[in-house]
Amino acid sequence: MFRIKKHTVPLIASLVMGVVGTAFAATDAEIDAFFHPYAKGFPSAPGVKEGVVIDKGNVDQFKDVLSPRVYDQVKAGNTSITVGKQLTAAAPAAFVAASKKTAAKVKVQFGKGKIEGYEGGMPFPYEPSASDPNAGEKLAWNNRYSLEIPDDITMGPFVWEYRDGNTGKINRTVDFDPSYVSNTGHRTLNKPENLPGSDEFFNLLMLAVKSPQDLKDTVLLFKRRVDSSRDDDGQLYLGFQRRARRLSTSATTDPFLGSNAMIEEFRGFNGKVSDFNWKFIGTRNILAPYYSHKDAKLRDDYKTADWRAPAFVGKGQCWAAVPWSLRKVYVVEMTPKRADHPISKRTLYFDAESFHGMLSEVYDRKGEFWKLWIVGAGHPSGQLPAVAKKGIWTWDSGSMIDVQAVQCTTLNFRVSSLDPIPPNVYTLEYIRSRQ
Amino acid sequence: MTQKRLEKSALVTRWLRASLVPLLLTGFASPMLHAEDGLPSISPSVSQSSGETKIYYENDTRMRGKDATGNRVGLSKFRNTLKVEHKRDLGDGWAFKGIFRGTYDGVYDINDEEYGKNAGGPINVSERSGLSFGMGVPGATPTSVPYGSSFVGPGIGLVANIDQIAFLSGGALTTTGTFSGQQNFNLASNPNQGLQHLGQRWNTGYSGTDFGNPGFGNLDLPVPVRPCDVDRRGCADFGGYGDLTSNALKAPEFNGRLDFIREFYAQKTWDLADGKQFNIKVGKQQVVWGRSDLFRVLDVINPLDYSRNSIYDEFEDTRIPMWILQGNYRMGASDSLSERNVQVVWNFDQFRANNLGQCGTPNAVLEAGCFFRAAKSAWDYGATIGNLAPAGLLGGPSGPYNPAGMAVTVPTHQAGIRNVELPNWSLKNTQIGSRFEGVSKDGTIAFSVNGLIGRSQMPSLRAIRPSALAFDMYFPRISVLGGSMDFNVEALNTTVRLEGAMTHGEELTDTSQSSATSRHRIWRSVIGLDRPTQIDWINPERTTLISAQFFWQHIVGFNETSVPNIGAFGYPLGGSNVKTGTVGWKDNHLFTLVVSAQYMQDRLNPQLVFARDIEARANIIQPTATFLYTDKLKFKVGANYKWQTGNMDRYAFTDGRGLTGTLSASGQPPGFPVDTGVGGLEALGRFKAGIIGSAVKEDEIFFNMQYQF
Repeated sequence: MFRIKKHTVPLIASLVMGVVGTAFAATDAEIDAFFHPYAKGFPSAPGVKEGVVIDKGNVDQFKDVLSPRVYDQVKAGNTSITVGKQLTAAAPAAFVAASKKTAAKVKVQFGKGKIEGYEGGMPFPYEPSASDPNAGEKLAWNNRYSLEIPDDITMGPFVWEYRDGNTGKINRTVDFDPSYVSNTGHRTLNKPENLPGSDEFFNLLMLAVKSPQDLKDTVLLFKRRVDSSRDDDGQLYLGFQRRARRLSTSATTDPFLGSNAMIEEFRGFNGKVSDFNWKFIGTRNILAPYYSHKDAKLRDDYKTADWRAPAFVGKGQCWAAVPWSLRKVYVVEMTPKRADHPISKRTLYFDAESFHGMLSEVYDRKGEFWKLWIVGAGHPSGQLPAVAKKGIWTWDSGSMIDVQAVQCTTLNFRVSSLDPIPPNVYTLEYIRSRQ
Repeated sequence: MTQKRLEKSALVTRWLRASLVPLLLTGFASPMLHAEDGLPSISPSVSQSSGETKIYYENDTRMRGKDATGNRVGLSKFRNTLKVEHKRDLGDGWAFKGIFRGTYDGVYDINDEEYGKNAGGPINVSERSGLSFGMGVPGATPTSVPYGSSFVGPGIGLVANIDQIAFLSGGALTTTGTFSGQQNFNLASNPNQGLQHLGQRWNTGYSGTDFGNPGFGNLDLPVPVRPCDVDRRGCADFGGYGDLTSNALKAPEFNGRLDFIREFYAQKTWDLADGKQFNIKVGKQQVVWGRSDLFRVLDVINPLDYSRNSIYDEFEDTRIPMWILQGNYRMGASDSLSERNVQVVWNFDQFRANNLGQCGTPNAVLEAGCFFRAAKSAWDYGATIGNLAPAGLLGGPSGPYNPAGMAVTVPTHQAGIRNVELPNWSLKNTQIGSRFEGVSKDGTIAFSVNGLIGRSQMPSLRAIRPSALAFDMYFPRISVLGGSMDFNVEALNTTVRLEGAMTHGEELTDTSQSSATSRHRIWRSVIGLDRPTQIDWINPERTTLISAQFFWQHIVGFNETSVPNIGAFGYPLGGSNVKTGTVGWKDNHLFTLVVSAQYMQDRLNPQLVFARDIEARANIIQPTATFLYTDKLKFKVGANYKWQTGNMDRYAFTDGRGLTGTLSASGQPPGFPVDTGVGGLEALGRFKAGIIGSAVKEDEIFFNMQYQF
């Protein structure tokens, strides 16, 4: 008769879970708590108070509430951080309800990129466990289906500035206008229906370049597959060729249109889950650019009648001049399986409330720190009325800072609407016929 | 006012038109809400809600080295372009876009000895027999004779009865007859000025020494090269070129077809049930089909303007926009496809041919424009054609078999192009096409099926009488049926592009036919492979794009035989065999390779383009570097170099002189062979050399600057 040692049981369980992650019987209370991390109050830390400015002079006392690479940047005097109000915008009830439904039946083949039984919301809406070997990947799946894409986003102007990281000189200005993003299946906030093709693609993106001259009328059409083991589907319409060209696999890991960000790095992570090994590092409270747009320092460039984008300051003017607040985050480390992938590792910080991948520390193939991705989330109270009514955190500012090339790409958002977008805009025919 | 001042004044007027017309058009259009996207449910972004105008200036300057004569060409382009783009909503869901372009190319003023009013000069045509020299014709040399002065010709020395010439058999030239009809050759109206030898830019065949034979096999056709306001000889509208004056060459957009309006169209989209849409786009526009770079297999709705910069500019700038109505029925998804679209295109514009470039200009691809001008001039004014007949016909030092070439001055209305039959506007001369495009359910394959009927954009030369060297130019009716596809091979990280089309009704010159032409089905196809590849020594931070394409063209019913180069009475001329039959290659293959890297946030783009015409054994390599100094200012420098890896013998082709009765008004006498194989590099070798092979002496360095105001 076999005697199974006590510690062998979790090992076997882990191995099984490593192949197929079955539904986890999280209680409704656990799920509600997961979606309302600040229900019992905001986190706090010594000295972290609204109005405090953290700079190289005092950064050491805030080291515990900064991500390591943000700490380095402040320590080096490249930027300072102003602590702002702590705000909350919890997930809408419909999203939470969908998550409960999904959590009860979802199955993921961890490491394989396969998901079954997804019916909206987030697939793993409960606190990650350090003892769960798949906790990191579960968080990646949560981020993939998070409210960062609240069914539909319309942006424009959406201006990317390619800057010299020393002088702040803007070498290129790319205006994506219009820009659309939509979820296709199990939509919860807008029309609760599945768009055509939702069995194949869960998310659609269309970015149309309005300027500069050499990129004018270039359009990216990017469709993310439900099956995350397969390459996503990308087409790039080139204005000067008047033709759409299919993107090959590695195009997603090249600098997108010369910027410092890859398509894979949109939203912190925008790639195939199965391309990476995921490791949950832990839960932390750190400072992150979560704020009300009203509290940001604004600039006149790209202003419209109803909107001014946040200014950029610091070394190379790479840092959005927005308040940072103490947030609960989940830290995940992702390492590529492909030897020829341009990075060796990313450390991703998922906001516990919105699940935006708002901070990412990227390391090159040699393991040296390469880039820092920061996306500021705007509280609904500071957004345009068409956005504010949805009551969720929204993209408001962003940077990808390349510390090796000493360059950065700064992102100026104007999210104009979260209302439904006609699915026709995500077609080859549409991107061709825009001219 | 002098002629020069008049020209300048006209130029200023054209420039004013170039600047004012777009402004007037944009100024008077009513400001309406933007509806370009046809998305009524989406609030347009503020920046797009009103009209938008962008103005660009571009300078393109090019220098060439020596041509085949050893002459250093120098400046070949000093093109200054002003382009205005305007978008505006017209209300009720209609959106407008206009692009207006005006160009001034200073090369015709700056380098007028090469391309302008002083181009060309007096020439001696080749006469390897030395007949005229021997007969004491002034200016003649042992191997040449001044244009218009050949000993054989009307009113000169030997008055040949060319009607009776049978080059290969059947009697010698007589001295008693006259040219038939009342045609004449008049040096006053057809002087020995402003001329070049056909093909002298890229070959030396006209000199009569190629292929190891002394003359007869190497035709020397003189061609006028000055703008048509300076020299009318050979000027005719070959389809948008061929009769252009100095000003029209300098500022080509300002013509009767209003080419300064590059695009001018409105479009609207209607939402239908079940998410379907119907879109209409009407106006002057480009309609682009296909998935190939550099090659046009399905992308044939708009004709192409090669005169702008041969094959080196983007098609967007060289397509000739046409007045087109297109309807697009966007059917959405089905059980098996994620996208379905049906497009119907009606090009209701008056016919336009490809602009192959006027002779005497820097970009006359294949030098076809020169061939046409030489032929047209020969018909209208007559011409002294070098090495036209074998001296053996007159006896001579080597007896009756002497194959040495003899120049003949041919009178008017004997040989050449008589008429250019450009299709008039009529319903049946318009072009109509349709495309079905689909995307597979999982998005991995996108494909199209395309069909088109209309007129060929390339000309055909039909003999006006059996086996004559006199032609009318036609643009035959053709149909195109094809398709395209693209997909990824994930394991290879490679995108595959496929495109193919079968054209029915294309006419090719055929020296074995008494009509001098034969009709064919032609299959053209391209396989393209695009692979972004990590090459660390080029750029360790991002991939380098490698794009390769293979082009294959197959002519169905191709008829070609190889024959010895034959002289008088069947006496072999020696040298290489020549080909007779269908002009071209039964199976032609081309290979292109593009390597493109990016640096400095994609502001610096070095690129290498290589192309090889495998059958012609002609190659081109073009390195360029583009630098975006700012978002508004872009510089590009580069060079292109062409070379051949074979000799030009492989282009040699019969030229129709073997046609008995070739110059006879009554046509070919019965019982004689149509073609017996006299030929050389001119005049048909250019069609075998192809665009690269016939430009082998047009190596360039160039500089381009573009600024957006």
